[in-house]
Amino acid sequence: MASQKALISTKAPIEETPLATFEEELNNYKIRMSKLVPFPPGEIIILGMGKTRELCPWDAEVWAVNMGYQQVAMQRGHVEKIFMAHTQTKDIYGRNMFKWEHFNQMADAGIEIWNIHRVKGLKSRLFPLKRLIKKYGTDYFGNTIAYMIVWAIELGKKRIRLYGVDMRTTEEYGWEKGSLEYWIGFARGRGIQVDICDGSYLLKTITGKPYGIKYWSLKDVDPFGLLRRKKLPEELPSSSQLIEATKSTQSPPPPQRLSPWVQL
Amino acid sequence: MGSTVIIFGLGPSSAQCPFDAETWVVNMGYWRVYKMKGRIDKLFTAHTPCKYPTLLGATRPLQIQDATMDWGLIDQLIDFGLEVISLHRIQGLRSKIFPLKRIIKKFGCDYFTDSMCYMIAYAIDKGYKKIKLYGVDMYDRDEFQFEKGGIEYWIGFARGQGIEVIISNGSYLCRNATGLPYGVLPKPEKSSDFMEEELVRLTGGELPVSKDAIQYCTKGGKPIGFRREN
Repeated sequence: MASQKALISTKAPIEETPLATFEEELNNYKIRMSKLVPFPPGEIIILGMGKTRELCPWDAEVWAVNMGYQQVAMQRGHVEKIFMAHTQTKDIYGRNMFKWEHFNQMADAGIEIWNIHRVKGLKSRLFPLKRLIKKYGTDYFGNTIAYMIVWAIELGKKRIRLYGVDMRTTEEYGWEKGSLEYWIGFARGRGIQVDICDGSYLLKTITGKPYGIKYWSLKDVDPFGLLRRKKLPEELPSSSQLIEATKSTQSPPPPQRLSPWVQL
Repeated sequence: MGSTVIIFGLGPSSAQCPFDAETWVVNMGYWRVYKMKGRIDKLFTAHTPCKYPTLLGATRPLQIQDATMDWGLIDQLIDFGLEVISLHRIQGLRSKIFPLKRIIKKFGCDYFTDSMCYMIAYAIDKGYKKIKLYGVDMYDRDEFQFEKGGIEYWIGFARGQGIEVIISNGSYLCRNATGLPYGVLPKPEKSSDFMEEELVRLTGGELPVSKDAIQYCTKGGKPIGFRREN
C-alpha cells in the first residue's frame, strides 16, 4: 500500500486580500472559473477554515464548508461545492450568521450547495444522511468535514486532499477530531489516498512518535544524574562545581540561575 | 487461526466479554481475565520496565520504585501457552517483538496512540475478518482526548477493508458527543408550553422562583431548554 504523504507545499502561502462587495467577488470568480483548465478526475480538495488553508494549491476540485467561500475569494481560489450542516444561526449579537442570498447567488453561478437540513429560501441540495448512515453502518459524524469525506467516498473519488482541516481548537480537538480520523481511516482502508496538509493535528500523536516509543532523553530531565543515585550525597556539589561539570565545548553555556533543587 | 478476535481492554465494558473467540489482552489485563474465568491467547504491551524514583524528602534517601508490571509472572505465563508481543525488547521476558516498522510500511501510517491501535493493526495484518472490542471504553480524560482518535482511525481502516468491527455497549468509541450526528437537532416532542407545565408539576404547583426569573430559550418557537436566572 502506498504510503500516505503529508502535503507540504513548496509554494509560499497565498496572501489573503481584502474582499470587495459580494457581487464583485462573484463576478471575479466567474471570470476565474472560465479560465480554469479541467481538473484531474477522481481527485478533490476538502478545504477547511484553519490556518493551513493558505497552502491550498487550487489544482483540483475544491469543496468548502460554511462561510469558507469568503476565504476562497480572499485567496482568489475556486470552489465547486459548499457543504453545511446548519440552519440559520445567530451570533452573540443576534445577527444572522449565514446570508442565504449569497448562497443562492453562488448556486445560480453553478456552485453546488449541500445541506443536511432543508432550509426555506436556500437553493441547496439535501445531503442524503440517512442513506449514508444505513449504507456505512454508522452515524459517527463529528463535523461537516466528516460529511464531506464520506460524500467523496460515496462518489468514488480516488484521492482526497485536506487543507485547512487543522482541528486545533479545544472543541475540535476534543470532540470532532476522532470522527475525522475514523473516516480518513475508512477511506484509506478502501484504497483511497488521503493526504493531510502539514500543520494539521490530524493523525498526529501528542509526542510526535507512536505510542510507547521513547521521545525524551533522561539527560534532558536530569542533567546531573541525581535521580539515578540511590542516596543523596553527604555533601552536595557547590554551584560553581555544578557549573563546571556542565561546561562543554560543544554545548551552550549553562544558565546563571540554578534551580532551587540544586541549592538545597 | 480463526476469523474472529476479541481485543480485551480494561474498561468497565469488559464485563460484557463472552470469551467466545481468540482473546488478546493488554498489559495487566490477564488479572481481570483470570477473575472472569476467561481465556487469553496473546498479551500485548508497549511498555518497558518502568522504574521511577521517589523523593521522600531531603533527610531521606532517594528510592527506586519497582516495575509496575509483573514481568516475572508474565514470563511464567508464556510456559502455559501465552504469547506475549512487546513493542520493546525486555530483559528476562521471552516476548515476540511487535513488527512495528513492517506494519507502518505496509499500511503507510504510524498513527498509534494506544496499545489498542497496535492490536487492531496486528489483527488487520493477520487477516482477521471480525474484531470485537470489549473494555476499550476511553473514559479517562487523557484517553478520550489523546488516544481515542487513534483507535477510531484503525477501526475505520479495518471497516474500510471490509473487516467487521464490533464495539461493546458503553464504550465512547465512534460515538458523537451529542449522541446525534453533527448538526442534527433533537426533535422537540412537546409543545412550547411544556417546560412551564413540567416545572409547575415538579414543584407541586408552585414555581421555585417567579416566572419572570425563568428565561426560556427558544428557537423558532420551539423550546430547546430553559435557563434559570437568579
